[in-house]
Amino acid sequence: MAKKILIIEDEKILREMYYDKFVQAGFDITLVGSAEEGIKVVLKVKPDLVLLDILLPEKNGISFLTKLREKPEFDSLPVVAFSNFDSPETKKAAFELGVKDYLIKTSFTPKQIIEKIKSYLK
Amino acid sequence: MNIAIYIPLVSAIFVLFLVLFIFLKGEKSKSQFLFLLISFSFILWFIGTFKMFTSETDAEIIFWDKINYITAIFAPILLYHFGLEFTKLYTKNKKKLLIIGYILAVIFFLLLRTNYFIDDVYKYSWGGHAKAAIAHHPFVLYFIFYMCLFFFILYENYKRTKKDPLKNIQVKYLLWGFVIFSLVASPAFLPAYGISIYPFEYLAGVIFVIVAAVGITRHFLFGVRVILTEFLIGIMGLMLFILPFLIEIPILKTITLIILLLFCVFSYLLIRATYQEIKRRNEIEKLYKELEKLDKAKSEFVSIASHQLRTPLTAVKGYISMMLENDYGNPPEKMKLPLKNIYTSNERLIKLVNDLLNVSRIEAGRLQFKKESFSLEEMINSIIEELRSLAENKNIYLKLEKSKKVLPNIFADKDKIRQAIINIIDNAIHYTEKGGITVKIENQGNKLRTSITDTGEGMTKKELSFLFESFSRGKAGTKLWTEGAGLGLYVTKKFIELNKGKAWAESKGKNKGSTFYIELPIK
Repeated sequence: MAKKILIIEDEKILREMYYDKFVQAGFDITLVGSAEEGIKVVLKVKPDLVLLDILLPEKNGISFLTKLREKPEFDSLPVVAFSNFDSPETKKAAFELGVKDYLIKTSFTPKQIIEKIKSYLK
Repeated sequence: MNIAIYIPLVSAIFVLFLVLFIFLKGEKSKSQFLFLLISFSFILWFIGTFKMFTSETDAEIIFWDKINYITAIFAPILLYHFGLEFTKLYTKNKKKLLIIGYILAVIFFLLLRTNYFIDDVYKYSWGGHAKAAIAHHPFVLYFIFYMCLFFFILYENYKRTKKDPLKNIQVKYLLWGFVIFSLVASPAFLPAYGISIYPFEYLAGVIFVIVAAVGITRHFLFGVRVILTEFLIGIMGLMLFILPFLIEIPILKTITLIILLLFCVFSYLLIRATYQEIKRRNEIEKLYKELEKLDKAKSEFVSIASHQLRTPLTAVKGYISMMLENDYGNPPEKMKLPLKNIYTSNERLIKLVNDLLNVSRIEAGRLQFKKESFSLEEMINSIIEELRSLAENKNIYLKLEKSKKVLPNIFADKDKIRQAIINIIDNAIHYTEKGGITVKIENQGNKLRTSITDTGEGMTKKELSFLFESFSRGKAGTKLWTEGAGLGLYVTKKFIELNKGKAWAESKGKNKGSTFYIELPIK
């Protein structure tokens, strides 16, 4: 069965781009554009992995992670943060909330991101 | 006569001095005006107490005690008002209490003129005191209530200002000063109820002066800093002023007068200099803060701008990479090279943005380091693997000359060292058209020296001199800019230096190739 990935990304163009590549790679993709929506969808979809942007409208990715980890059934759900915002403080906060990795978007092509994700799904 | 009787008088003079200094030199504010009123009421009280204890007749005692009660009636509400003004902890209810307090104070003040407040005289071993009448009882309640409110505000503010050490210590002084003062001064009511007690109010005056003086001189309460200087000058001036009257020999008299004159001139100069220095220091502090703010704004701007720049770059990088991976069908052969060129150009932009971010972080001192032990040789091997295709595209070689001996690990920030070495090798590939690049690592005892030698363009002495400079260093930057080296080498050098290493370049001249060196300590 195809692995379910939830992508939380507010930039429409990037969302469409990652969607194309991930679907081609055979993943079952759900796209949302905000942290609040992300929390709702996580409960419904129960993804195998979340790809999380950090700078989001209103509530940011860190607040999504905090909320997610409050729910016992998701306290070990693999989350990969990916953002172009790379302040050391934010990075530290994300790792403390158990992200598998913190990827800088410009450093990776979609293909490279998929390779990373495959390694975390193993 | 008991000399202790004069203590309130001395206290009064001290407070008067204090008040004058604060009023003349401090910043003018409402809280300061209230503090002045409070101080004046205390002076009134000190004088009243002194006169009361030296009174001969009952009528005199009652008169001076009524003067004392003016202070007792207005001090609590003035203190409360001062507390609110000083801490700015106003609320609607606190304002209501303030108005009620003032109304009560005025009522008690009016009652003081009748016989309903105090009446008759109670005599005890230390003197006389008026006896409490019917209106005195609610007054005591009012007194205790507003003093408690005042302390409560100071305590509230003490807790609130914990994060601001200077403010906090000021409030601490006020709080403890007034608590001790009130504890010592309050028994002054007891004789009114026929309880004989040593007149502690003598001490209260002294305590008030000490706390205020320490607070002002040591912790700049009310922003007054020169009081101590002026106070000392005042005392010395007073002595010098008295001296001529005591001396009878005319020559000495003239000399002391001349000294007094000189003293006045020098004191004036000294005080003026002190003021100027304080003014200058304040200005410098203000400027420094302004500068800090600007600097922070600059790096924040760069950080946010870089982030904004990265989003479209991500889209270009992603889509082109997907086109080159045939995700949108096979592109015509003719289109492949342009696509690759777009990709490469975009990578350059991404690198530029990364460098900008790094520069802004280096300059703001916000880089964080995570040091660990690792093999430099392994790292360089993997970098060469990664960059090999770039060299192959240009038909040049890229090789690591194996060291004969096993090299020790180094202890440094792996990511930053990696970025630094990639920068240099990438640069070498960029500037080399034929021949190639040789990387060598040598063990120099307590450090590893990596050399990256290319057979490329080489550099003149002048070019070498500003090679590692950032764009912020004036002309050099613009020149490098057009040649495309950008900020990469500046970042590289900084990364190496922040890991306690050294980076430099050598070249025999144009078209003679160049060698870049990186030295990193082993431990």
